[in-house]
Parts: sequence; structure tokens; C-alpha cells
Amino acid sequence: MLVSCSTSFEETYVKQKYDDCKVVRKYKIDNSINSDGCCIENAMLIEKDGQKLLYQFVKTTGFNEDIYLMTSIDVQNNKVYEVDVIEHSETDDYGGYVSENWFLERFAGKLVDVPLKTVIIIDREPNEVVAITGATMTSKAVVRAVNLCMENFTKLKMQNK
Amino acid sequence: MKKRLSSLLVLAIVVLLVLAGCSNANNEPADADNQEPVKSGDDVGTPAGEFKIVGLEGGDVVITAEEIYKMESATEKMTNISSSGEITEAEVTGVKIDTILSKYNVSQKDFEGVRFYAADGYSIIVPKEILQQKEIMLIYKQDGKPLHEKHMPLRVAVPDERSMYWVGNVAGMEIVQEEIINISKVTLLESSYSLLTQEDYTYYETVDKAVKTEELFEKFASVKETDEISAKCVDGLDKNEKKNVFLTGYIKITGEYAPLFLSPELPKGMHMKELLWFNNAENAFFSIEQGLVKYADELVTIGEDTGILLTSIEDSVGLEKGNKYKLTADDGYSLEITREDFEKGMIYPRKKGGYSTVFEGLEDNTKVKGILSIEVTE
Repeated sequence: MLVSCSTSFEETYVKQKYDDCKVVRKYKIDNSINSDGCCIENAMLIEKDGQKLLYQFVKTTGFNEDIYLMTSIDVQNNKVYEVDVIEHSETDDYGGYVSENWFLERFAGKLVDVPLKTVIIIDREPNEVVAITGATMTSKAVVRAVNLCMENFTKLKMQNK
Repeated sequence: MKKRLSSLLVLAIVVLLVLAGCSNANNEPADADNQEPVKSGDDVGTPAGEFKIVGLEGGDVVITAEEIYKMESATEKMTNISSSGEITEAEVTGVKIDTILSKYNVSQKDFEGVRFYAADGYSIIVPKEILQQKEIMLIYKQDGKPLHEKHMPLRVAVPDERSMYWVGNVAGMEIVQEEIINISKVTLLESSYSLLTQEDYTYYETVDKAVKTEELFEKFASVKETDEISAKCVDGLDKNEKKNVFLTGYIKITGEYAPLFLSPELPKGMHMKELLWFNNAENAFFSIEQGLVKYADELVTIGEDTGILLTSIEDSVGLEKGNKYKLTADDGYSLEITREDFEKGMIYPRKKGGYSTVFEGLEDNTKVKGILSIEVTE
């Protein structure tokens, strides 16, 4: 259960990202959804320029330690809007690339109704994400986290129908 | 690479955990920096694990990690160099390889090479040059702490060498015996690409082209059952790789570090950047592009063209000296030349693309355009 009256780090993070955004709703986290080394810690619906985005903050077990990242989903279009790594301790030589934009941009625009799959070498299907060279485990950790956020989004959407 | 650590985040998470009682303890991995207090010397503990030495005259031996922990230890300061060039200083504690080998009346300096292999299949040969100069250790402590869990129970430490030699979770070593190989054929990598299936290969942020090593050998060379692949990179790195490992990989032929040996199945430390050449028994593959870089000071000009001497390629890969050579083009055309002509020949990049041979003092019709291979025939 992650509802607090005070402004959380996550809310500050979102407001710093978009000056003009408005937090429309904060969600209680259903811990039963957390699995496979992933745990959603915070979820909120924001509105910016008429666009509704579900921001979810999730912890996932990386190769070294936990990776804390944010996934936002475009509510109207059912697509991943953005993924950002907030904190990680992966090694510079390998998983450290996890916070590079060129990797994170591989998630943008993915449809939320098909779970993402980590692949190596080249992506051939729309739901495939190519792992970072030499850091397959780290890449899989991020894919697991984004999949969890997609699953939670679908669940929240069903509940609010 | 960015790593953002916000004290605000830490504070917020602590507050949230306290307020909401959300615990993620099961997901917390062991923190190497927060393990039990460090014990020293033979008091570090008794981890499970064995270290096998293969290739000793009296037969293979297996020593338990526990036995190694109890041997005469040494503490040394050394540096290790990551694949990105970062130099890290470390104080390591463990047992010198020679302390172990002395029990069998041999020294690391007696060997042509030593292959260290890890329990997960990673392996690397430490060449003779390093064995002669550096005292290799099997360590169990680094910077006063036990090894990281993934490197336990023993890790190889080679002073002031690249981290690829620092094999963690090491399971054994194989003594490499000298093998005399006569290389009789050199295939030029860049000329072979158009004859191979080129696949898209995502390498970090770019999608480059790659060819399978297996197809490369199938088309241009035979692979001996028991042989290894030897390789040299333009930065001077010498590396040996097991044939069955090498043949699961790719040569990335475009983009950064090409030609780059890599495989999604292999750790990044086993990739080989900017390959100059590699060989399996009598067949070698040579990168003209990297050759032009490596031998930039030795390039020659014949007519209007500048290129690399055939003898430079010969010296580089160790091509055996013959009386006659067959030069073959990528369209199948071939030309036989004598040793005398060979010494006057060079390979240069053509303005139209591809490469050609030309010989000092010989007619233009002796050029082999689209040169693919050089073979000693007599």
C-alpha cells in the first residue's frame, strides 16, 4: 500500500519532468501482482497537455543489485510512452548501459497488450526488445519490470471500466 | 553512462517503507560490501569448489579450494584493466600459481601457455609472454574483503593485465603445449563478406552487419577437429579460443570495432575487437582494413596506388614461405606467381571498391582484382 499524503519522491520526479502536469490520481498497489523479482512501488495517473499517462515506479532485480525505474504508459493509446532508469548499480562495462537512451527508447511505443520478450542480435517482432550487448540479464530485468507495469496497467484499466 | 543516486529517493523509499510497510526483502541480493566481517589468511572460510590442473606430466590433479586457502599465501598490489580501458588498483590475497605448481616440480615459466577456465564455461589462454613476466595468483580476497559471490571461491589475478585474464569462479587450468602450425592459405576477410550471408546485428545503439564464423570456415577453410582458433587484434592482443566456441559466434563486419568477433552467448570479455587475423591450423583470415592501419608505416606505393606488401601479410599471419603462390579473386579467377614476384607484390584498396594486387615491374594484366585469397602451392 503506497498512499501517502505527503509529496513523494516519485511525484516530485514527475513534476520535475513536466512542469505543467497534474497528478490526477494515485493508486494503491496490489502487492499480489508483484513477482519474478519485480515490485511496483508507486503508481499515479498524470495529465499533461490533455494526454493521460500512467506513471509506475518499479524495482527489479538486476545482475548486481536492484534497478529502480519508471515506466509511463499512454492511457489512450495503450502504448508504452517512456522508460527511465532512476537508480542502478550495474557494472559500467556491462549492464551500466541500462540507463542509456538508445536502450530505453527501444521500449517506447510498445503495445501493452502483448508481453515484451528479450531477444539477442536483432528484433523481428513488434514485442521484442534487443538486449544490451553483453548484458542480457540486466536487459531481461528491465523487460520484466516493464511487463509488470503493462500487466498492472491492464488490471487497473479493467477495474476502472 | 549515467548513474543517478538521489538522497531524496533514498529518503522517500525509507519513508514509504516505514509508512506503508512494503517489504521487498526477498528481492534484495547479497551486498558484497555488507557481508560478514572479513576474515584473513586461512581464516576466510572453507568454501566448496575444486581447482583442476590438466596437462601435468604425472597426470591431472584436483585440489580443493579449501586446500588452496590453507597454502602459503601472499598479498600483492596490482592493477587490472577493464575492456573499456579503466585501470583499477587492487590489493589481492591468495596463492601464487608457482606455489601450487612447485609441488609438481614445474613452474608457470615452463609452459607455452595456460588456459584458465571458469565454472560457467568462460576460458582464456594466458600466453607465454605473460607467464614469463608476471606472477599469476589464485586469489580469495580483494581489497581486504572476500571475493564477490560470483567470483568465489577463487579468482585468477594477473598483475597489470586486462580483466579478461582475471577469471572469476575459476575451476581449473590447462597447460598448453607448443604446436607448430604451417599456415598455407590466407583469405582476406573484407573480400569474403560479399560471398557470405550478412545478417543484421544489434550492437549497443546501432544495427550493423555480421557474418557467421561457421559459414566463413565452411566456405573458405576446413576446421580441424581438435584445433583451436588463434587470433590477433590490431591493438596487439593475442587470444586463443576453442574452435567450438568460436564457431558459435559472428564477425561483425561494419560499424564500431569491425571486424569484431562476438556472440550473444559469450561474455563481452571474450569478444575480440578490430581483428587483424585469426587462423585455424593451416587456414588464416586477414583483415586488409586493419592491416592498412597496423602497417601504416610500411605501406608502399606502386604507380598511383598505395597498399600493404604481401610479405607484410606473410609475416603477420606466419604464412609459410613457398616457391609458388596461387592468388584467387572473388569471381574465381586465379593466378600463379613465383616467390620472386610475391616479394614485389602488394594489395591496395581499389577506387571502385574492393582490393587488388599489383606487382612492381609487372604488367597491369597481372593484377588480381577482387583478391580473395593467397595460397602457398609449392
